[in-house]
Amino acid sequence: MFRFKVWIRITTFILIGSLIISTLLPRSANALVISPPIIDLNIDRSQSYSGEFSVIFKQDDPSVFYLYLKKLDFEDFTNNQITTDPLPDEQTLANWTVLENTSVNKPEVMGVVNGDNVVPVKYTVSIPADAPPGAHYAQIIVSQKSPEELGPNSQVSLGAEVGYQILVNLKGDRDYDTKLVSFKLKGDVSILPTLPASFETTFQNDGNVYVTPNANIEIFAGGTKIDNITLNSKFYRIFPGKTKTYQNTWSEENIEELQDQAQIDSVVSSLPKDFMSYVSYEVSHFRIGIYNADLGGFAGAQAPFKSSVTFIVIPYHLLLVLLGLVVLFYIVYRLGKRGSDSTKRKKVNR
Amino acid sequence: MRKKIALLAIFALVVNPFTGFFKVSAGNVTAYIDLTAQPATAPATISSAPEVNTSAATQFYISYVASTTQFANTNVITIILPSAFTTLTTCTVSTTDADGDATPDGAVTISGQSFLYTFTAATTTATTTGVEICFKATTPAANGNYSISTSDDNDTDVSAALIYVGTTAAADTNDVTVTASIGLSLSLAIKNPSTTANTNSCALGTLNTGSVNTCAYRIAAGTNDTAGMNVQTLSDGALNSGANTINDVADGSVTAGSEETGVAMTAGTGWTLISPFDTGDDPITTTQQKFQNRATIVDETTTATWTTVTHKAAINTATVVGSYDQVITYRAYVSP
Repeated sequence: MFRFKVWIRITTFILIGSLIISTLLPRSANALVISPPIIDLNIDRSQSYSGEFSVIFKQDDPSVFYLYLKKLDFEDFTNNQITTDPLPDEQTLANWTVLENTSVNKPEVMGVVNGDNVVPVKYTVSIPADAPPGAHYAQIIVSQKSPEELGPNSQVSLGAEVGYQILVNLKGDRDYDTKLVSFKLKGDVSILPTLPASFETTFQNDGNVYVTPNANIEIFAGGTKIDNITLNSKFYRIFPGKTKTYQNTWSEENIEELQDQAQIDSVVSSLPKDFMSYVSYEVSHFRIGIYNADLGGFAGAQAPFKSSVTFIVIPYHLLLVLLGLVVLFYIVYRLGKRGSDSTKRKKVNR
Repeated sequence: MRKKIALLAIFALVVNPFTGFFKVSAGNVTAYIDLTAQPATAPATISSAPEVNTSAATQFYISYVASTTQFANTNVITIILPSAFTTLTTCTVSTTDADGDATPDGAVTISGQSFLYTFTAATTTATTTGVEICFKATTPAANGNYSISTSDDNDTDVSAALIYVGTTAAADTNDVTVTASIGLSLSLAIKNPSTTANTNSCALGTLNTGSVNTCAYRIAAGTNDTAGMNVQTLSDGALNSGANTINDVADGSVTAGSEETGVAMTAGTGWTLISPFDTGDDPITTTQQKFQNRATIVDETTTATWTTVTHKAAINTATVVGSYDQVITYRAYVSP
């Protein structure tokens, strides 16, 4: 009887203790927001840069997020690896970067006004005097660390991380060597029934620094400039050793200007897909002529690049229908005339 | 007698709200001033505080809806300007039809700092569509807010409206310029499969050889970077219980009776799933893999954009008993 009472007390103590401890443990809620998410540094060997970015806490976030440095090893928007950084770890930007803290704590008194939910993450980049020239990259990962308690019964535990990218081109033997590989219409076509005209511009970066191409595609009709398209409006970079193709569209609806996916989907779904919808579209967006698309711009500190492509827009679906109607009218006319002549002949014969 | 008087007073007070029996005060109406003709019945189209240059001959329109009674012949609407306004004149097209029914019912005259609109005919719509009168004056030389008052003598309506006088570029002292800046941001959250709550676990339950167990959650990612963003995933290893593991799916489909585990993904609006996660069931390995990307901005709070991840697991009769677990990490970054 005595033992039973003791066990009851011990069990009660453990249960209450567990409840108290569980309230003290950080709650994992997996919500992470940082701003900004990327920075281009303009520093050189033997120089330092002290910077910061913000972690934006929400009310239901855990009380702490963890920080660590990492080599930049992910894919760009073409799904190709940005860089397989061949440098040893001690020569990477991640190794030259020092975090002021290894974690960020949620403000104890946190409102949602005037940025009192924002906590800075401070870091210092110090480039060694003997740092290899060219492009270097690092990431500061903000992580909601893996949950401590792994649940029983076949459980998958989840963790979220966001990456703050640090990019720098170091001087020295800095080598800009980005080549324009091709500028053409998608599918190598030169005759289109209607707009849109889709351009593909491919660059190869054989240098040792990353570049951000800055160029325009100017559309000319009969020698007169009628439109202008920004080649790289989203400022995508090309990393050393990489080939990147930029897609641009010259359309009646300015698809390039749309940012909202629903709007883009709406416009794309309205574009013709079969013969009759082509005819309808060619009527409502009638366009015919010879056009020139001139590409001009630069990618880093090197000679500007230029290229041109000529294409013809002929609404041939519409023209086919019109031709068909003309033929049909002609046949009807001939048949009618033949009938009339036959009647006249019969009358004359009588 | 006192009782009768008291009863009469109480009766009068009770019926007052319905009859206006005791109403002797002036009616307070809302008058509007604009630089173009705007009916008082459409205040949404009227400038809340017209701004005009200093020392400029300017035409104004004042309008209001008469509170109770129509105007009769000889009734007068008086518009009084502060003394800082000078050179009061009638408008280029002086108002003759005040109530907008296309029938002239009066004319504007000037007396000192006042414009007087005197009715020469009774109106029929002043209490419904209101009246509107044009007046012209040279604005003051000093910046500031000036009150234009108006009154009438049919039901003693009174009102006032403000005009801001000032050189808009140099000393627009009645305006406040509100500024804000928005920086690029990036966010990532893991959400419950059916609610907007965050989650950090996915319980597959107790597995058996006759079924495929599943659990799900949603990846909510957002950025205002027009270049778009990407999300990677990686695991700490296979679903394991110490040294015992459940195999990663290799044939594209987790099936009952086979020891295998993997995930199936359904892209949220605007996301593109990257191979192999675009079809079938695939393992999440210890090597980070990008599984989705987009080239447009996205709001993390829009549930339609959340990508659903469904974990699947099945066992065979030789799978070792135990509690199995696996840690999956999701990592987001903007497109560089």
